[in-house]
Amino acid sequence: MTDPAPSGDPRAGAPDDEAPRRFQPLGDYDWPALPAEDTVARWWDRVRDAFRDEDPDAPFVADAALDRFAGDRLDRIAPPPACGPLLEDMTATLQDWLAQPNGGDTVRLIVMPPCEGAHILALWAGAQGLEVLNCPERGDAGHATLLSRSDHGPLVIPALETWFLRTADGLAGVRALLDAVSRTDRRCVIGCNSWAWRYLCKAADAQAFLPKGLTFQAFDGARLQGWFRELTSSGEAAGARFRVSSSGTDLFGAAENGSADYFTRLAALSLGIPWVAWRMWRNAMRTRPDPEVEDKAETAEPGRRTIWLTRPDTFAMPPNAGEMTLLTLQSLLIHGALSPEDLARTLPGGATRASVPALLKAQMLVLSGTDLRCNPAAYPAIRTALSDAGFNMDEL
Amino acid sequence: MAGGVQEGQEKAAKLINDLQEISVIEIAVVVIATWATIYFVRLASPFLARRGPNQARLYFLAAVPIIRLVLLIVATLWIVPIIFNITFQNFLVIAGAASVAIGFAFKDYVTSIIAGVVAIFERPYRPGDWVEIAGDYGEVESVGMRAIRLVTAQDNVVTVPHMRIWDQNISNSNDGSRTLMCVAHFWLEPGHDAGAVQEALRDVALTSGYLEYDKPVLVMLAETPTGTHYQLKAYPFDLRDQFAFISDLTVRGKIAIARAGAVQVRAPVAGRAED
Repeated sequence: MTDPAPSGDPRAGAPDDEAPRRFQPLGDYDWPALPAEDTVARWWDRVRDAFRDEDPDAPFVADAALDRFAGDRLDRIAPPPACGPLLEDMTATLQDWLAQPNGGDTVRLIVMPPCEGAHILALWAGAQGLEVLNCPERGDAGHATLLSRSDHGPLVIPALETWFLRTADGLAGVRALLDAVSRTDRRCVIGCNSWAWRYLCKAADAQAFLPKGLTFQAFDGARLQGWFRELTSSGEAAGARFRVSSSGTDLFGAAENGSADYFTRLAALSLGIPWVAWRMWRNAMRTRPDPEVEDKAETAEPGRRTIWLTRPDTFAMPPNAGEMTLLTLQSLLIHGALSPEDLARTLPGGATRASVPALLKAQMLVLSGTDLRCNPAAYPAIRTALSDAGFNMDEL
Repeated sequence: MAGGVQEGQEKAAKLINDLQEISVIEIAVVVIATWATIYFVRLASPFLARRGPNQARLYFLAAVPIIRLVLLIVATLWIVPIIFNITFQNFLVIAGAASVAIGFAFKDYVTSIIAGVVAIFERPYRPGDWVEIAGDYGEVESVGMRAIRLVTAQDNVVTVPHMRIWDQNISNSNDGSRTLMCVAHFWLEPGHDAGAVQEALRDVALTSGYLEYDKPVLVMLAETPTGTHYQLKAYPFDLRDQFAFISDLTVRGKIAIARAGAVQVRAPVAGRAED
């Protein structure tokens, strides 16, 4: 394996925030931070509020006066997939490699944060017309035939985290796959979430079989703003105004009025991960129960609808959450999604009886069919909780 | 005779400042402030260790004896000149009197205090460490002036004076780090595929939720009179999980051994104590 990193500046060919950005080597992820003045202001607000009776910063529109959207309406306002411009980034990163003839570097590894759910690499492979190899069942090793067809063009294995179960007999499949990939002549693009990759480096020496991974550049505020503007410029949200309920700021208005701060904050809260930011943004959308009142009161343009954005939801660990709760979250991050039965097999003592219902109630977990997975919007809170408890963390 | 008494009284008067010059209020303020600060630190440190990031836990706990030592030195240096007229001669008088008192009445107590000061610098144990002293294995809950308090796995509190460091071996399992080696033991009938069992036990450790990734996993084996002795050695990410980790390794290790076709021996346990 030779160095898989794309040559040159990773921002090469990206003169503005709309242009694709090439993936960068694993370890170079630039975690977005809250503006320093924002952090100081939050502390100052807490101190000031402690000594004042009245609410000093009455919101522009009270949250209680706003209603949530139904899920299907959200899909029309801000439609999936949640990966946004990542598909173009991936194409920009891999197009030179795809155009090469066989015989060069055979493997590309793409490592991305967890909770994306849609297997972005599979979507990208579908768009590129590439063959996809999914794991038929966790631990299964039925892959040798596809890997041996070196004349069939690149093969995409979108989610390495689905190829194993963290049990004493659940690693054979992924080990066999890694061994086969290291010996095949067929070019492969392999995707893996960052928690699973860290684990597989320990449990299966995955870094010895695969090259150094690539990951996307963190989405900063400007990029989120550009993406969301484009996302809402058509469909049901076309023509609507997006305003912050606390300040009345028009997020996509022409004037520079603080919208950049909003997106910078959102980028920091979402850790620069597009699908987390997308979820947070959608979850924050509200509407007035009576749009006519809104038209007269808040807009100078009757008939133009306003979608209000409240503060992003905050997630807290369930009361009395113990280590088993954290182990449950860690296991789900490593595996992506698991059935309750498989989840129990990966935990000490197999105990999930109390932790799963509590985590579902706290909205830290969501049901995806019959499988459990971590709520993308809660991922920053989950990551902080696991880090504070000393768990092995992922690396980006 | 009368002249000798008068001379002694003059010496005493020079040794201790005039009562009018001794500020009792200042002494009281220093003593109370020192005590209150030490008390606050002793309360705040475990609180921060519990609530703060796991990575900083041992630093919070280990700060208590150091802060207390510094505060006591400052308070002593502050108070002594208020009470005593410190000159070289007076220092010899005070040291002589103190030596007699210590030698006859408080020898062990002072030895423990001095050993406690030495322990702060040599660090054979710190709060949060897991140590074994004279057969007692437990977590160092607190490091006091005279003794430490261990909390054993059976939730017993054992008080061990610092003076033990002069003549006892102190076995420290983690030595200030956040993890420690845990060992799960298995004894098997000799007729089995050792390579398969070794691999199976290694996977048992690699698939434990408690595993620390940055530390090695080892499977050692040796032939003993009671069978093949396997030691599965690995590290949990948090040393407080050590017993849960060993239990997890043991439970799943037994299943893995059976799946690998091996059988655990049923010899008397007493025969293996020396292994």
